[in-house]
Amino acid sequence: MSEKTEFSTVLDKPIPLSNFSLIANNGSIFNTESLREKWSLLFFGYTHCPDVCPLTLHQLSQANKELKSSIEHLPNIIMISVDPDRDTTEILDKYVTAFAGNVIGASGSIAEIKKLTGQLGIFFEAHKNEGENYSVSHSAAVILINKEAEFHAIFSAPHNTDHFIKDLPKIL
Amino acid sequence: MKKISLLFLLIILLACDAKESKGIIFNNLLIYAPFPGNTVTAGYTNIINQSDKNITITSITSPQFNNVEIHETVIKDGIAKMIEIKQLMIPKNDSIMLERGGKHLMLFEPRLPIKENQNIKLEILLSTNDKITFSVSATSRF
Repeated sequence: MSEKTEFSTVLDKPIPLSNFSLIANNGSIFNTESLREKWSLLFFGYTHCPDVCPLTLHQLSQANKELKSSIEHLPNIIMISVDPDRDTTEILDKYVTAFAGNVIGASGSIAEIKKLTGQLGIFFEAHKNEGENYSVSHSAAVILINKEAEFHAIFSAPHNTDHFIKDLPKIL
Repeated sequence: MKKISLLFLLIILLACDAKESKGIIFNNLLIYAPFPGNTVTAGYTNIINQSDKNITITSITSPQFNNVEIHETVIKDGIAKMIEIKQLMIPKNDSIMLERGGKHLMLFEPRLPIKENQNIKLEILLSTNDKITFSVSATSRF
């Protein structure tokens, strides 16, 4: 029995993920198999979101940096873009590379993205009526996937770096 | 004595990296250089209204961006949404913080690529019909 977490909800029974097929920022296939053998922190956002998305990715990167000495295998940080029309593989690659190689990006068709988000209770909606610079509403939660590619826990927004620093060692 | 007080105030403003004009102070103004290949970025500041009347920011423009807006990130029921604030009122003798995860500046479509340390000019129109102009260096996020 793991220690009680303060800022995340650990599922009583992790949920195995059904397959989906996206493209990672390095051009490789990103699917359920890509989530095996390592814990992953999944965040759903888009590169034209200059506020909460980079803030969350920064918080996750900072948490990993702080936990480096205490956790042997740090989780991958993965941003799934829910704005595939603008976030081409090239744009996504430039975006995640700016985080010094600590973040993986992936996206794909709306249908394939929904195969994943549907399993995790993640909502997103592009407001294309706003014009070229449209915004995308999206769940701000961070999802923790375990080494067996199962939905293991959820960190609900608003986030704080300390929330991840305090809870991740109790789970991993 | 008055001269000394004004000098003291000026030193404080400079120390805080404040941009001040017409009774409005933009304290700790920060604008991030856009991510490589990206066409939007954000800015943050603490806006202080030192006057004894409410002042509204009616528009912000920049010669280096096609469009500048004020937005607010709102997280409701776990969903993050961005809402445009058409006009931002700064109450008299009060302040409004533009901060990460809250209200913030959105700068769209740089006319030329913006790099770190490059000066960004902002022109701000107030409800008093005053126009204030200042520049700030683009900051790297990392």
